[in-house]
Amino acid sequence: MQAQRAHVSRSGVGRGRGGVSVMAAAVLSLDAQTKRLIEDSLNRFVDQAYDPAARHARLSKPSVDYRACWATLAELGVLSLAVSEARGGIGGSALDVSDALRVLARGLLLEPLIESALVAGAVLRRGTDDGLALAEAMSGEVMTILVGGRRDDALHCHRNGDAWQLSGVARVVPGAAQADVWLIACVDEARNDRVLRVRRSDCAARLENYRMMDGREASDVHFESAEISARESTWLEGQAAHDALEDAAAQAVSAYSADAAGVMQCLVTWTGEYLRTREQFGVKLGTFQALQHRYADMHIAALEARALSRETARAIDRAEVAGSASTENGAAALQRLRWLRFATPAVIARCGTRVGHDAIQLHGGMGVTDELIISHGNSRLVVLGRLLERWATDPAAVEQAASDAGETDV
Amino acid sequence: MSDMTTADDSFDEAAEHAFRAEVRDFLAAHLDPATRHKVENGIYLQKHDYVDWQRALRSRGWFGATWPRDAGGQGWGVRREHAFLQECAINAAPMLIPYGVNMLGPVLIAYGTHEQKCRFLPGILESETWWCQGYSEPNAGSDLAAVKMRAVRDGDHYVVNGTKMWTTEAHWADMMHCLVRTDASGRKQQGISFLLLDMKAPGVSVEPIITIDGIHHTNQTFFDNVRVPVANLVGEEGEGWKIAKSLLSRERTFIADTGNKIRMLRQIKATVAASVGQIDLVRRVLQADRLAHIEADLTALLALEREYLDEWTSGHDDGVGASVLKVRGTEVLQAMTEFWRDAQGAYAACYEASLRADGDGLGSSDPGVRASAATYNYLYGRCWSIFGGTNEIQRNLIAAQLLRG
Repeated sequence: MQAQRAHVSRSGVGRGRGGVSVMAAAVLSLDAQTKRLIEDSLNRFVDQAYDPAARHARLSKPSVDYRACWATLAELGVLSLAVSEARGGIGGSALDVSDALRVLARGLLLEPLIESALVAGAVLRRGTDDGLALAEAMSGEVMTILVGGRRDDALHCHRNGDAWQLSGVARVVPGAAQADVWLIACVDEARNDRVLRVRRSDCAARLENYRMMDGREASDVHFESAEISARESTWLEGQAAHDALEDAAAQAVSAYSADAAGVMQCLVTWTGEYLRTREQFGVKLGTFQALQHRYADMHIAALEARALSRETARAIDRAEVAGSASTENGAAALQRLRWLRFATPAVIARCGTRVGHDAIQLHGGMGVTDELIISHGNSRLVVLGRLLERWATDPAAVEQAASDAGETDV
Repeated sequence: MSDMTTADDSFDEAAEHAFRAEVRDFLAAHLDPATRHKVENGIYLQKHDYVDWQRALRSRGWFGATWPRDAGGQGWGVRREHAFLQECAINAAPMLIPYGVNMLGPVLIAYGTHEQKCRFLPGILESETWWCQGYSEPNAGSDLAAVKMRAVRDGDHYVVNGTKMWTTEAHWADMMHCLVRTDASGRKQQGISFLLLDMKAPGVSVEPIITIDGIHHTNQTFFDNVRVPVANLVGEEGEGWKIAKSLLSRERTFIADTGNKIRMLRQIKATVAASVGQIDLVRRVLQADRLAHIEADLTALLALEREYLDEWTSGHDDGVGASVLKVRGTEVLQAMTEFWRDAQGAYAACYEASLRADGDGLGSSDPGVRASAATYNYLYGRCWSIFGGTNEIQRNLIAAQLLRG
């Protein structure tokens, strides 16, 4: 484990500028060699820390440690991959992050990596504390989770003297119980977006924890007039909070879809191995045309998922380059991103169902065992599909957004 | 093709942006408004619509532009070709009829004699000669290697006997390039030769096949002791299978046909917008949801096409891209056309081929006419998952490649 850590720590890898783009302001991305190094080290991490049997054993303990690999992920640079070099990160583009997440997907990680490093990370990056919170997050010392901000979250705050009084409930928040710090997305009396930052231990919230289908833990976070010091908790408000939450949503869709696309690729590979080796009726399963065709459709679905997930990451990078929504380019880029926030979850849900269910079906009885990783891959896809839907663009806004999609970026 | 990765290295994102604008300007200035009206409104195109457009493109150097410069082309790479074809389709230009320019042209450039190039390439570039293809036969559809049409050497000629199926637009054609069997003794892929044949030669007869949409697109063509000069043999005797394979693999650049789908989506949305007030709220919400999911699938298809173009131009090839794009592209098209049919409401069951022969089609004030212009796409849409290698054949190819070893 020691050897692998040396490779891609923040200080360990010089970051080159990626292939020169022709657009006036280029997307900053990692060079091919750095990406290969990262991919290799992440593959080694999955091999060593996420052997399926070990993962299974970890989940079988009465009390599961969902942060077991957090320090390792920090040392590998995964927690700082999306953060710019200027702020002490590795400086990967959204596409770089997407490509890395597809590699990690094979492990079916139990740590709330996407929720903390990317979703909460997007909000942390926009904060105004000189990067202290971001540095703590990148080092792995402090795990931060965003509570609220999704379509079905309804958290309200109102001012009560020196404190914010919080009410409402955010349901099925992955990682909420593991976090040291919460970023709470809520709406104040004047209907302004606000993000409050608070240590979980300082916040009188009621948690109901349960497991999701993939073994990870999520919580309903109930705020029943919980009081939080206004002076210490203010993080973002108004337009800045709104923009940060939009960014968090885009990051969530990009990252979850990358995870899903990676899982799909694995399921296709594993199913292919099974079809090539498993014999029934004296011949290899792969000789049956009915199975070949289902397998071909699985493959197509996995490719679609990967392509659209990468397209979403590219759209984030483009929106960042295009800058402010008040410019024509900026507005078009955000419009495109809003459309993808509907399209990508929709397509991932369809493709994930196809790949997950057919991976099980083509494995026959073995596919429905707890022992084999196949069923766990499907469960992960189910979870990712449901989480994606909650970050998706509101259906009422889709019609509007859809009317302009297809015109852009074909 | 050979120039897949080398040509057009300078065609980067900014160049593509500028080039697309240039193509749109050209379309605005040079696409016959009557032809554009037909495409925009779902009216049946006549032979002259295609020929006139191809000649307009030729005058700009954009017909046969993927051919090498010394053969009369521009040496376009796949990215530029893709951008060009997509932009043309989005902006309601007729498709380029591929049989001459995209199929035979590259074959002659690669395998033809100097004399054959001089004789046939100019006629293709100037759209003087209409070519059709003769591959499938009554018992050789997806199983193309099973072709039986015989060509027997007799002095300086081959004597050709047999029949070809699905000879699309053979009734407009001057010439046919076809696969014939010159030797029936070996493996079925061997003994196939690639022959060019004059459609006006004695013994050729063309019988219409009316397709599901009630239209005469295609034919069965019969050959009764048709004499073809040996000079019309392309490559060596027995090289036909190799040539056919190289020819069919070229189509992958635009096999997903995304330009036409983007245009069709716009037309579908116009149908939906025009029907506001004619359907109740519940159905409208369901309809919007269905269309949004179809559009999401189109967005995914575009992303998939883009990833493959990136791979091909960087020299990677998983060997199944054309099959993947064919299957998914036709599935998305069929979902779109089924939606468009249903969006006709009470008229969704209506179709009359003659109503889209001319007139205003989708722009008509008569809902029956509008419906026919839309439901045509549903009917013809059923062809897409069959021609060019059925989707089942494509799945065979994908699985064979992935499950090898």
